Amino acid sequence: MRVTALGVLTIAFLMVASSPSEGLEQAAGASAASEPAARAVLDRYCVTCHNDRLKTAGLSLADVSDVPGQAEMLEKVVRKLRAGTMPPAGSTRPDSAGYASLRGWLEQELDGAAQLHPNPGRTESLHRLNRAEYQNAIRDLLHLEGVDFSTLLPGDDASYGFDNIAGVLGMSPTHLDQYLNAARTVSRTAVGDLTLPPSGETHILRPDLSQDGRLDGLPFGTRGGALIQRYFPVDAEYVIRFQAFTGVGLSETESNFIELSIDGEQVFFEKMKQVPMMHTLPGADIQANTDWEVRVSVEAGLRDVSVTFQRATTGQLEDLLQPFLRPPGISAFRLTRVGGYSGPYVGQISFTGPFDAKGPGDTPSRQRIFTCRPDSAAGEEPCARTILSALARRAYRRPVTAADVDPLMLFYGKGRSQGTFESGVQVAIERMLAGPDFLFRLEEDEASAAANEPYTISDLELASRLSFFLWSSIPDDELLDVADRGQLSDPAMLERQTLRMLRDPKAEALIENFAGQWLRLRNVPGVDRNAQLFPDFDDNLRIAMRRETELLFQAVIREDRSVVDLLDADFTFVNERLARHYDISGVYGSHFRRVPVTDPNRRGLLGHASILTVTSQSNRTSPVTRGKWVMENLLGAPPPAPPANVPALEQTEAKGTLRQRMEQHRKNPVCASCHNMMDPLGFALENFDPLGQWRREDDGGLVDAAGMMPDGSKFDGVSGLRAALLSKSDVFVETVTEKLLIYALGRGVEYFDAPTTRQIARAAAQDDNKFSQLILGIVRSAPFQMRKSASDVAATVAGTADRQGQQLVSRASIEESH
Amino acid sequence: MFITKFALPRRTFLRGVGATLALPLLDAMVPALTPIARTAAAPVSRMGFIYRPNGFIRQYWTPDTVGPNPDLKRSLQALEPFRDRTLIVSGLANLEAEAQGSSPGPHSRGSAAWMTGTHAKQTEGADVEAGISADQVAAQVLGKATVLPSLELAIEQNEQMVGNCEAGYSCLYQNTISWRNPTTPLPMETHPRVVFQRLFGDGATPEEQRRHLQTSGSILDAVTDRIGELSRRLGPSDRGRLTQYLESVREIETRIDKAEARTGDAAMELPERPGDIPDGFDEHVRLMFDLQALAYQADITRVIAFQLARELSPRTYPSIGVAGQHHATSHHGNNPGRINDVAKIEAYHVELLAYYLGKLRSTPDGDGSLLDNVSILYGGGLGNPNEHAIIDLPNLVLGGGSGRIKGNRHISYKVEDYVPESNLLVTLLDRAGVPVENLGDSTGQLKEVDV
Repeated sequence: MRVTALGVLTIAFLMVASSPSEGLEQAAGASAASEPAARAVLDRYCVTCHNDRLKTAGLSLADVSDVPGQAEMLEKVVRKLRAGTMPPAGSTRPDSAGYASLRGWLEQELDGAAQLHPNPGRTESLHRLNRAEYQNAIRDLLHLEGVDFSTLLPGDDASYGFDNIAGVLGMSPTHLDQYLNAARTVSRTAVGDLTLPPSGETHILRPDLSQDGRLDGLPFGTRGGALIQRYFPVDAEYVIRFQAFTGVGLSETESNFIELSIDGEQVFFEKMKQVPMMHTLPGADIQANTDWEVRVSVEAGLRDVSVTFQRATTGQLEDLLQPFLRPPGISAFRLTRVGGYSGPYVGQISFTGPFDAKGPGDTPSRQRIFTCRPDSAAGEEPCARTILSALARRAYRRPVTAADVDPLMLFYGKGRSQGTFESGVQVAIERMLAGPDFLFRLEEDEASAAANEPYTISDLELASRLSFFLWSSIPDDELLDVADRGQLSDPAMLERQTLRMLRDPKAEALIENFAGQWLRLRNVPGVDRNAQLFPDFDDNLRIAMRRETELLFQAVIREDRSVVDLLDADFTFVNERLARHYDISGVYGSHFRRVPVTDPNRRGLLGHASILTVTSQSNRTSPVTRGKWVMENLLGAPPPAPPANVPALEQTEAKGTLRQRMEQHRKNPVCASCHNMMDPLGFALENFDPLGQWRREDDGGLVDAAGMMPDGSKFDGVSGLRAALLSKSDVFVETVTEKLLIYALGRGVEYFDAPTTRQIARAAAQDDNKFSQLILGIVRSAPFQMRKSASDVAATVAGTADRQGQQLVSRASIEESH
Repeated sequence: MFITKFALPRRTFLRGVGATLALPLLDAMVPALTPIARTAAAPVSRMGFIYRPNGFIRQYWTPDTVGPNPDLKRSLQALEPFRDRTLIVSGLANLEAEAQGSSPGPHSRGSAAWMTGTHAKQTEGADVEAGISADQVAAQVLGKATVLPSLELAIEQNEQMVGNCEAGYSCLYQNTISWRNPTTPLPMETHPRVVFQRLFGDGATPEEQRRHLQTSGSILDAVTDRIGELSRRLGPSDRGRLTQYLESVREIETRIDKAEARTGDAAMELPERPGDIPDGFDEHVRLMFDLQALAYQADITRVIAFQLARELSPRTYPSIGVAGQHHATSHHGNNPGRINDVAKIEAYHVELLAYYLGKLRSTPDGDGSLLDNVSILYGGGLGNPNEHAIIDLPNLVLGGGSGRIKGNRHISYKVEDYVPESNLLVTLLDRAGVPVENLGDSTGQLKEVDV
């Protein structure tokens, strides 16, 4: 290995400065990771397969003298050493000191090389806002909330596990068509356009939503129904229609009263007609037997609309075992028993309107937009210009000039000529929202950068990166101001802004978008369980299990806890429904509260019903899926894809427990190489059924939850798995860092990002792996603050005079050198 | 957004239970609907492409006999009433879905290759690439006459499929089967209300709609200028996204021009607008089929691609007694119970297809019915699911193809001949009036399809 004197000093400094994680501690103790020790490990354990002759998996480790040149290959090696997936189980493996010395030396070398030649990677120049970001941007730009963007914009594609990856956020006629529509709808709604045609939507309550108790958000003394936050664009009349269904069987003599309330004020209240329905066949079609339509005057704005029943009795409703197993016309199959009564339930709520618009109302969005009012015809244009300049600056995330505002004023003029001052402003906003300056984040190469060189991105670009990372939204005024003044890149200011933004409620976007995808919480609403096996599974449980994990993640952010708490928290959040699911007694009511976790098996994410459910099938657990999830999301070592031709399993119907049947995976060596790693991790979780409930038995026998880490260390059950993961907590922290880095940059991470990940994790370890330290580490990192210029910079077509100047200079210097 | 002629009655209620489809005025409206004269002698061809995933079970699908009057096995039973409009094609291959040195990603590649005949590039980044898909080729020709050149629909929502993609391949390859060009995949719409809105507008008066079109047109002009400015500031390797943007602008401008050119459109009694996405696969699919029939009937588009379920679909089908997830069960390992389950799912999908065919048949069109004048390819990009095989694919051609497709037959190709499925695509395109030299890996046409 060729190392300059400076390099040696740098590396030594790195070794001293970094706080070694447990794995590296032994290396440090063994007087710094040394090449001979590492070489010895390689020769003894790796090169037997990975040599020049055999080249197993196309890899030879015979010569690792040029670490910088072989970085791509060696980072893959490091990843496997980190998770312990190599050497494969069954081969002789080094002890932990051996692992530490090899891994330590490799990382040291790779980090050193990266220090000398940092590679921040190159993000896309144009990064389209995804749907969530668009929605938040509208909220923050126009103070407009409650618009359902899932019906305005197409869904986004995901790569690397996240849907904010610039590379696959494309543009097509379908997208553009919908962006134009969205721009029109949003601008008209925000302004409070009185000519908005009536439109509407229907909310269908899920048939497996249990409605025999009070639901979250609804007043005490009520039962069932729903609370919908709906945006009413103008002061007008709206028609609200709702349907209630009676359950199957003989109805009770008990009366039911249904009420409609807006913002807590009752606007409709009626006693339901009792229409008994008798059914003898399960799954018979049920019609709504009561159907109301209420036309009501509503003031513009975001309002809470609730439809619910007054709870007439606190006694148990007469029902057979599962009251919520209603047979709506839709999912009639869920009925598992004949007869039995379940109280009426709300099926759907529809809104139509506005009708007979009276006025635009006084909404937050109007207040946000109309910061001035023209007092005369002459005052209109200047006022419009003021409004549009302010909005454009925020919408485009940069200072705006006449070149930006003049085109908007043209559209204002068009709209004004066909309508009013306000409609002029509306049309200009429509133009603003449909153009590339709003829809795309632009990152431009520094004018003076040569090809393929790292350069520091501008403060304004940094501000956008920061706000889209932490808030999935546009920068706020304070952040924009700081960036505009060129102060954002100052380390102290950057830290201050980052922490401020983390503490802001808008940082909940991290829960919705980062945790929602990393932990697959977004899949929870789509989960379905076999009704025969899991008759207790209702929508209330779906909602609750998702909320629990969201709240744990939120606690880690808000309380700036160690991210390792995600694995090992001795507390969690439950409501009554979830507590019942976990057999926790003494929890009543629908709201979530923090509870201590006394059962060691329930600590952390591995004990959360959400994770355990989305990694299961509808009728059985899937140790493979769970094992793969652990490897991908906790160990940062995703198993390779299955081979092209998955060999057929044996014909004979395997007997025995799931574990025994899955032995087949391990018999065939083609399968075993990966399944030996995935399956044992999943087996450790076998005490959790497909809904995450604890079980001691399965398949007629006691659950055998013996498991094994990819590095061969054995343990039993989830507590053992957790302990094993905690003993490698540095790996977990690095994995979380890597996921956050992908999410923050909007591109996949490459081998050259690994030193950054390690550096961030090491720094965070010095401060107890606090969440804020991970975030700060990312924000301070080279990939976040810098960017590699294009490889074809010299070929750029001349644009501004400035660039032209540069062009001439570089061409001249090329000619000179000839 | 483009429809100027349809005006939603001001007090339309919203029913969440599906669009009703009474269109009593339609016959009287025929002259006003489209600039292209439609006579019995020149029926208007429509094309449809319906994708269902996770392979198929041959023993319950492929008829034993070849030629006319094939025996309809269990999975295809529901097509009995439509026998005369059903052409079963077996034995074709999806060769471009092979790994060819990339890491395995059979579902992604099978999905991407089905309508394109091309090899999907293994990537999760900006360089996603496949090939132009057959529906988009058709849209370029058949779409000239309609305001919407094509429609792309699906059922499963991307957001709830986190982690359900193949390593090394962007989820994009499974989310869509429709590619405008090799680098521009098209998003597929799942929300019935959005589809309804795209077909029939948002209920504004025709005058308002016209104003909307004008404003959008002006916006697009302005945006074009802006894109030009930005483009000059970026290097060639960075302009890709802007190029896509510009192409999209041009496409939308064309549509606006078409929409503005329509005159004298009578007001039409519209079906009720759908509400939320129905909570239930069955209802959702039927609703989407209703909307597709409507789109053909009102001649808003003549090309529709529909993904009934995407590759790797984890959906369970408890209503037909299948408790396991579709993809997991499709790896049946030769277990008879699982094989039976997968075949039940397939039979169910075909039942839903039959519902659609029924809708098309009962919709008059020109001299006959919509079913006479449409050619629909129903199939998938994988064969034996246990092996992720890309040979011996399931393919059905439904409809009369305006008299050019002969149904009630089973044509079979020898698996070992590796006849590309794209040959069938090229053939169908040609019969629909979209002659094309080749598509993807096609080597020629399948003359056996002919009448």
